[in-house]
Amino acid sequence: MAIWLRQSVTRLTLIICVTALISSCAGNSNAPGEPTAANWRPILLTSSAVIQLPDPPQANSDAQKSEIAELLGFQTQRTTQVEATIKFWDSGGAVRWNEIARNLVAKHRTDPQTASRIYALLSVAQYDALVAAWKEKYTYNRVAPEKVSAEIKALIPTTGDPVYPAEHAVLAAVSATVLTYLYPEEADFLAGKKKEHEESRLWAGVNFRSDITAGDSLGSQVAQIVISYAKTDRSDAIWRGSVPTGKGIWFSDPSEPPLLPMWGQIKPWLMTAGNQFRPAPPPAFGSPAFNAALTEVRQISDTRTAEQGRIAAIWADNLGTYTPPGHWNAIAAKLIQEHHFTELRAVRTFALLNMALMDAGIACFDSKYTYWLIRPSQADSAITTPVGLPNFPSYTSGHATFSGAASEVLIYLFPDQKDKLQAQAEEAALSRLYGGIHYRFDNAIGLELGRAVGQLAIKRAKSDGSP
Amino acid sequence: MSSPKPSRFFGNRWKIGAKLALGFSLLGVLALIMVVVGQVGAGNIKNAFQTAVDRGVTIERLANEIETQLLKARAHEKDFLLQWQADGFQSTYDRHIVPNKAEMELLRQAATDLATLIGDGPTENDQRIADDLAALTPQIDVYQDELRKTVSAIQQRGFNNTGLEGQLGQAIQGVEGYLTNHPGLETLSITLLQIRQSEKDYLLSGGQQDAKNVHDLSGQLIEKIIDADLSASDKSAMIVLMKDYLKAFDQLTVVDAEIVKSSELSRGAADVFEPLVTDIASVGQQEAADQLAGAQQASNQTFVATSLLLALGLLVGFIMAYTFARQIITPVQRLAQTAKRIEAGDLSAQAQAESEDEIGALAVTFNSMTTRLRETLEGLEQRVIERTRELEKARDVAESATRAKSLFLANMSHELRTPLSVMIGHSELLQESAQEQGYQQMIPKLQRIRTAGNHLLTLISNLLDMSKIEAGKMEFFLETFDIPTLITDVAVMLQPIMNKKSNILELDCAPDLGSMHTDLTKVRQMLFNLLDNAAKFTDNGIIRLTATRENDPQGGSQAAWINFSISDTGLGLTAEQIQGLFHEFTQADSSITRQYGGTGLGLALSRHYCRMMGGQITVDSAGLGKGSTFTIRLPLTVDPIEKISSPI
Repeated sequence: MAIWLRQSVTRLTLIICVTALISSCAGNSNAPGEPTAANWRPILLTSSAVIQLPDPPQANSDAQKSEIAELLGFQTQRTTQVEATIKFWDSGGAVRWNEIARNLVAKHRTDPQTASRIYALLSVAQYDALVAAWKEKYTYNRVAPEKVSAEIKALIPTTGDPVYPAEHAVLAAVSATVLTYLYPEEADFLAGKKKEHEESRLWAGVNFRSDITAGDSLGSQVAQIVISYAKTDRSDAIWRGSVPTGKGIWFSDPSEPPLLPMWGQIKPWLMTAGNQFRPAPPPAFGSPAFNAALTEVRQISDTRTAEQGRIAAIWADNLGTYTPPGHWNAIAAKLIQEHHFTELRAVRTFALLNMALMDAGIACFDSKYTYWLIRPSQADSAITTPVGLPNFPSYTSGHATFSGAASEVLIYLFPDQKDKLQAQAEEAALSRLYGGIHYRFDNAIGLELGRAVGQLAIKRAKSDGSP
Repeated sequence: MSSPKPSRFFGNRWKIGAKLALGFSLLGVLALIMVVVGQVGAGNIKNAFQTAVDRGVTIERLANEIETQLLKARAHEKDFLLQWQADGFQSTYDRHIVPNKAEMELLRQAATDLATLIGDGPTENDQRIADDLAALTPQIDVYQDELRKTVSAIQQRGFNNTGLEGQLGQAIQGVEGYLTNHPGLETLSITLLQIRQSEKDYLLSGGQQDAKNVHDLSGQLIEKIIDADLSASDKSAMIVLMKDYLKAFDQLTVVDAEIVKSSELSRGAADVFEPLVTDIASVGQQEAADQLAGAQQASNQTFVATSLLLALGLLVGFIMAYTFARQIITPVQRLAQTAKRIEAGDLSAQAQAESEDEIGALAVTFNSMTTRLRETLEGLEQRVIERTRELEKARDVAESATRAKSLFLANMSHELRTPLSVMIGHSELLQESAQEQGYQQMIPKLQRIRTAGNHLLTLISNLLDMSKIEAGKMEFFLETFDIPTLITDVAVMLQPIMNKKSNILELDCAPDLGSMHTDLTKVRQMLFNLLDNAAKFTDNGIIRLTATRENDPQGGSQAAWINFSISDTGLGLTAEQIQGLFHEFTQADSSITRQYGGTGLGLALSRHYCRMMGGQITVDSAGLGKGSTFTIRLPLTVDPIEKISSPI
């Protein structure tokens, strides 16, 4: 009975909550969403006011009247499919573009480091663009179409933030532009997505055409600033060195050069340089500590359980997937949706996360190509690597470093998820031991290194002006 | 009364009808709730089972589908790679790669369906499957991508006389044709053989050195062709063929590398997702089992809930029944107890009107009834006491009057007898004097005076005796005397009376009569009285005195009895006359006194004497005109203390 009662009570509570939520939504549509965002500290923009937009059409002007007429036209033609599209984008513009980026990373078999840069550039661009957009919103304070004309029935709830420029158009334009720079072959696909996203706001009746145009313009301008930065981050530096040789030194797959040996030297977002947190050297090859670590990898390889195999596979995140940084973006996206973050909070989360992830990747590769530590399966050929062996040195684990940084940032942003996030980071690190790819110390030091990087993101988060 | 008050749960102001109505309503509501709970419970069970069927089973099915399709697809992939060289590319492709693609599509579809079904599932299994699927999907893409590349590279490469390998063969055969047509070019033929050997080695091992050998030897051959004794057109044709050969060989090495890489990648992807698929299948089974367990649990919980509710219902029903019973039965029982006390005589008992229902009203009525009864009884008792007191007073007055009368009579009788004796004595003297002096005519008159005097004396004596008896002053003078003598004396005394009415006195005395010890005078007086009476009421008849001795069987003299029976053939007595016969001043008929004279004290005295002596007197008569028999039964010896001093 207890359960039956509890279920009943839960259902009742749920009904009450839903009712309360509905009424609060209806009642709060006038409450401002993020009125302070105009004053949040941008990342690449020198100030949130660098982008200036033309004045929107005046109230009761002919221009606005024709915009209202256009919206009423859309309103009468909403189909089920249109409504689904509206809701798809409204559930989180930043989250949707993040998803698109992850799918492109998988599709193009982008490596984890490069992927981390893509996610970072996209997220930073989204964040700066929305902060700039909020500056403009609260400069013009344009009210929503449904407040201008009683005839307009918005399909989705609106926040109290002014509508000019449209934040979804800003997101669409900045995301599509940055991603097109990174994946030029996807230009058409991205343009289509941008159009669909922007127009969904017109179909929904929550933005005027001029809001969209202005948002598109602002997003594109911010994207250009981010692209200029991307062009100078030294990620395209060419390696002219050679793989060292010797006992305990990593060696490359005969058919391939080492992956991104210069990555430790590219421009970080938060660190002063790639070597800021460079860890102490790993246990010396042949030393008891090293041998013990190697023996452990071998033992696990020999007795790998189904669950260990599964954990290794879950976190394999090899080429053709979102990669580890993308995996953590997917985790963040889910949390953002579960916590009903506003678009601003969402892009701030992604920006902080991805700056930390990219820096973690930089710090990790600094270490890898400083110490050139041999892989376990290279030191003991009996060790099998069922989820593959990436073509770069062992110390520290990229998975561990990425996961340390990501979990640190996300725990700060989602304190209620601390236990789960910590467990996920530990598991991600451990998965590499299970996969026969890394020594335990690769993971432990990697997590530490990542967390140190994560702290930089948290430091920024605490001083970025968001309440 | 100090007994506990009945429960006030339903209030005492309610009528029994209202209480019952409330009780039944509550039971009705309870039943309704139980029905609803039962329904909801049944619904819950149904929903739970439905969920288990729809969800758990579907998850399991999809998970199994993924696993099955993967196994099939991988089997086809393996078969293709093993068989394409032997069976030819196209037919092997049709037999294995086409089904592989279809199976991977089914797998993908099942994965998509499963992801949709899982959604943001609440259970750990859901979360786990979601994680597995998230990791699985890109690996499927990689696997299919790389397998496609492998297959297309294999198609491009060909085998024996197809594809690039075919091109190699054609080019070499062309060169061979030239060499066959132009004898004397053995060195070229040897080099060509070496090339083919190296090519074969490469094809077998994929070794880089073999590839290099093919290149080097081909370069040597081309140089040898240039130097050879051949027409320019032949030379150039052969060189073109060798260049074609080298080109095809280079392409072959590239394609081979691609095949190696792609198949490695596809195998790698498969290696990654195989544990995931296995996990999905096992977790899917687990989820189905969990769902069924959940349904079972829901069923159990509903059973428990229903049972608890039923128990609760029974409890409430019991409490209600108990409460009502107390409210209804307890007052009734109290009323019954009160009634019992009243029945036992405690009229102070009061029924308590505890409630205002029908029983309360009954108790109130009962109490007023009891009060009335008590008041009535108390009045009645008072009257009885008063009357008794009056009667006692009257009795006392009467008793003292009787005593005074007896005393007076006793005294008076004595005072009367003295002058009467003088008168009788003097009348005798007068009679004797008249006889002597010859006043014959005076004698009968004097005789009459004397007779009347004697009669009066007898009357007075009787009265005196009676008075003595009543006053408790009668005294016995005990002596032992001979019974036959007594009888003879009495008969002699009575003879003149018998003669007067021509009666015959018969004596019938038993020979063993002997003597008795008692008051002789009283016995004689009794016999005289009875015989006198018999003579008085009999004319020309026979009067019989029968005397018998009745010895005690044990032989004791004290318990022996003497019976005197006097029977006559005179008037006789009716049953009614016998009734009052022994009472004072009563004769069988009031007319008797006038006709026969007598005081009416004789029989009464006789009875008193008999009783005083410890005997008795009885009378028997066959009816009027049939005579009567009086019997005196006396103890032969009278106990001087006991019998005589005993009160009358």
